Amino acid sequence: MRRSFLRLVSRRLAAAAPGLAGVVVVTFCLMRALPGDPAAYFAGNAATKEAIEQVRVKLGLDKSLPEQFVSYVRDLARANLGQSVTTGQPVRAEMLARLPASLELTLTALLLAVAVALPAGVLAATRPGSWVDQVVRVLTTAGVSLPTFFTGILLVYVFYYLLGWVPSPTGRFDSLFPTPPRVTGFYLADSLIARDFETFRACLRQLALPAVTMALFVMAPLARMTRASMLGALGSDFIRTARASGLSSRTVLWTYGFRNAMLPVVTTLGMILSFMLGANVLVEKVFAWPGIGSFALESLLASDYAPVQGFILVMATLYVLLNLVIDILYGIIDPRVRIEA
Amino acid sequence: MPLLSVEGLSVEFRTRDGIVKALDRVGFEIRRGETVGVVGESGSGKSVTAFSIMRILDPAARITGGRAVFDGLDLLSATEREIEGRRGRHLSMIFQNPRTALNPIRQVGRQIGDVLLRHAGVSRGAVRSRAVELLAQVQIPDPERRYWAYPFELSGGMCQRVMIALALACGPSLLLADEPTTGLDVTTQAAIMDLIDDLARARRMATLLITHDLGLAALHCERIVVMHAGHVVESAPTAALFANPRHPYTAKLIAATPKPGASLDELAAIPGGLPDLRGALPACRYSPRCERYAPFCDEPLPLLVPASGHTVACWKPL
Amino acid sequence: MTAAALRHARYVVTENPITLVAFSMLVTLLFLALVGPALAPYDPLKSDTANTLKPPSARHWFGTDQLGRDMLSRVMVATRLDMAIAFLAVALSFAVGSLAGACAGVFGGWTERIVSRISDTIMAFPLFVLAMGIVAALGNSVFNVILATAIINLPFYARMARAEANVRREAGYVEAARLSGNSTMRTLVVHIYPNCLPPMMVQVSLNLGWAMLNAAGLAFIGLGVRPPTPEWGILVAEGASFILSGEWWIALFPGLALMLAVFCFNLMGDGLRDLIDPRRRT
Repeated sequence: MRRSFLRLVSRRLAAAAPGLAGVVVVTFCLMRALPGDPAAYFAGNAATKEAIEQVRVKLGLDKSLPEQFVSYVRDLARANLGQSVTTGQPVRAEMLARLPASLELTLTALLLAVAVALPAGVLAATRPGSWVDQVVRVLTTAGVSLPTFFTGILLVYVFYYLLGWVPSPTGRFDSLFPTPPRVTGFYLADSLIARDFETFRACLRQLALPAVTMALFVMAPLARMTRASMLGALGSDFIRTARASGLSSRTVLWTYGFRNAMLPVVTTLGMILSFMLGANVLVEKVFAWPGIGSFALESLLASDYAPVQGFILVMATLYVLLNLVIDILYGIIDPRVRIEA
Repeated sequence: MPLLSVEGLSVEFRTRDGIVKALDRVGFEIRRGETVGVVGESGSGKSVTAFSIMRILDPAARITGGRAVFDGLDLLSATEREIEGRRGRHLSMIFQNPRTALNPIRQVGRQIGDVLLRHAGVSRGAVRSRAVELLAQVQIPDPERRYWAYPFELSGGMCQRVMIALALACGPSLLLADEPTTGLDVTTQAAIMDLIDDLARARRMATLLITHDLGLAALHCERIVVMHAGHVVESAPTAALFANPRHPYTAKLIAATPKPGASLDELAAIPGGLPDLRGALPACRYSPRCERYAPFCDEPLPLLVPASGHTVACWKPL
Repeated sequence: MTAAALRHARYVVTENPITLVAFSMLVTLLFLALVGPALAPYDPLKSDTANTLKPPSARHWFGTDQLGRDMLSRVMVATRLDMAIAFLAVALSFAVGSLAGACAGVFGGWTERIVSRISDTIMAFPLFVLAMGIVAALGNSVFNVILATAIINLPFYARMARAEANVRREAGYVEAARLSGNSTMRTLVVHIYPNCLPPMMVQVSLNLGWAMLNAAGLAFIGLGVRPPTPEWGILVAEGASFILSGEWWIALFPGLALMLAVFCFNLMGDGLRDLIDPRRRT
């Protein structure tokens, strides 16, 4: 089991390499495709001619394209993402400071979506034709039509303005509470580690609405896929054998049905993650969440392009790595992929 | 006292195009240790009968009447709990297409282990060795290593052996075998059937062998029940059935079975096909295809009471 | 063949009244897109400083925004732009993607390798992020939004077309065409390609909804369409800041219009799927 697992991981890593290469090349081309003088973009709006020239030399934009590409790759290898004009800080530092916020949001939303969608899908599949089934089907069709930014705004209106259940959507924490001492950068985890339950609750209340907004959109395809694949699994021959062997309905449903049904669902996770990483930008804007998405957006509007490039690189790399994890997860569940028969 | 006595079993399917009356008052019995064959064309209702007894029918199916008394309990009216307790333990089933009938992402040994844990009161520690023993009993080579194999790593014949081990794990007194050798090559067919015979004899286990292959039934069964379009048309000890078939359909079936030495032109096909089981049906569902049809054949046939001896459901038997 | 197809279509439609409803809503939206500007009660760009931030009333059904502009007119006029962007983007990616995919499926070899490589590279990015990057790089214009949305949708069509073409490459009628002297290219264009189209129609309908959400999302963050041009995404963005002070109507109506349009496209897609391939019903 261990040997086939290692082989799986190394094969998937090798398969991810061209993806990463493509990401690097495309980002390079994108930033060089800027209309006009790229150096002017990287130097900023207020730059003088000399400053632009300095930036041009510094970024190597005066050299030929292949040479530029080589120095670009070399910079990336050293994790040098350039300098932000608006904040004056290296992009890498800004990204690292803000990444935990984005990750906390995305991971919480994912957990929430899975916690709701999977049981809903299973329930709908085990009671086909019932009202539960109908409700789930209607909600999932409606769910994929929700524009994330709009849902966020609606939720703010209802839960903040009308009901006052959540604090104002202006960031990660209420300034009344101190930020928890940084261990992971995830406020929820850090406040628990510091055993500061007041802060934990406050952070949770701030996180609630943004996480729900992001989760709402992905719940729909997840529930739909779970229902469909569960129905498929429950109708297969091996379930009939399991029932004929007298296994308990719980074993039949979970050990035999659910595990097999999870295979297509895991595949769907890839598409879902693509969406979530993109929706990050929208949700961070609506809720003024200080993650890398809102940073990239502010920089974009200020024509500060180095952070934008850094943002695309980080998001794409994250996506490739997460897909790698999903592939490996799939290989763990399905031995047919792992073992060459 | 028969081990299983089926009486008046009727099953309907609700479909998009109407109600399909798949089984109509099916009845037969099996004694302890006996091997009974159920033969008929594809679609005659053989598998549905077995699924009804095990209560693993499709949700679209409804049992509209009858009893299936197994060891004192009527399986058709029992609660789900009572049935679950019996399935796998006192009566088991093996299926066609063994590869798809096993969980593709779970090792075969562990699948056997699941059944042992459920019914046989085997402790967790002893499960693995007991499962390996069972694998050895069904003549799977290198059972220690094969315990960890997945179904896709095994041949069709080996998968069927695993299924047999699974079904026999808790020592049931009745085995329902639904086309266990269809899809396997001839040599493997013979080996699997011999294995079933040996195990059944050693454990005094009754076997209900469902097959469309009359020759196979002749070789392995003591009694044969012939089905057509959801009806039982004839039931007799094997020798008597072949020596003296009394239902016209049985005679045609026997004639249609290819014999060694006969050429393909001599294949005597049975004219017509199975009737459409929706809507109105004649009292004898074979009458549209029968050469001996007479007007009195439209009288409703009497319920074929399960019994030993030679019984036939026909107003004008041979 | 047509009589049977019509009968089947009528069966599906009556079986599924929701599809009929979605279809009629879609027709209404298309109608609005075409003649909206003529029907709008007020000029969507005209500000009226005396009437700012008024809630919905008999005079202004959807209320007015911070510059006194009538929201109903703005939402109606925005229909044209949103629908246009969605249709053009999907048409572009469908045309290029399906042709590229069909060629890859039929010719194999280097064609297939290049098409696959491009597809995979696009799919390696979170799609909205890539769209952002493309619009940021190429410049802030409607055309670039259409182009970016088309690019991120390419892989779906390329993959589908390649699979369909692969299957049909070995079909009998293709062999017959080739034997009667047609070149591979001609076989592709005349025989294989048209037969790949029906299953992709389902994808097109679902894609239209998704393309619309994408374009609106880009507009929401300030990319592509610029104010004061009415577009549902921008309208929601403009209304977002007023939600906190309780003026809900500025963001609500454009958002609802967007949701409705996308919902229609999704329902149509599901209905089309039932029509074309009933086996895949969920």
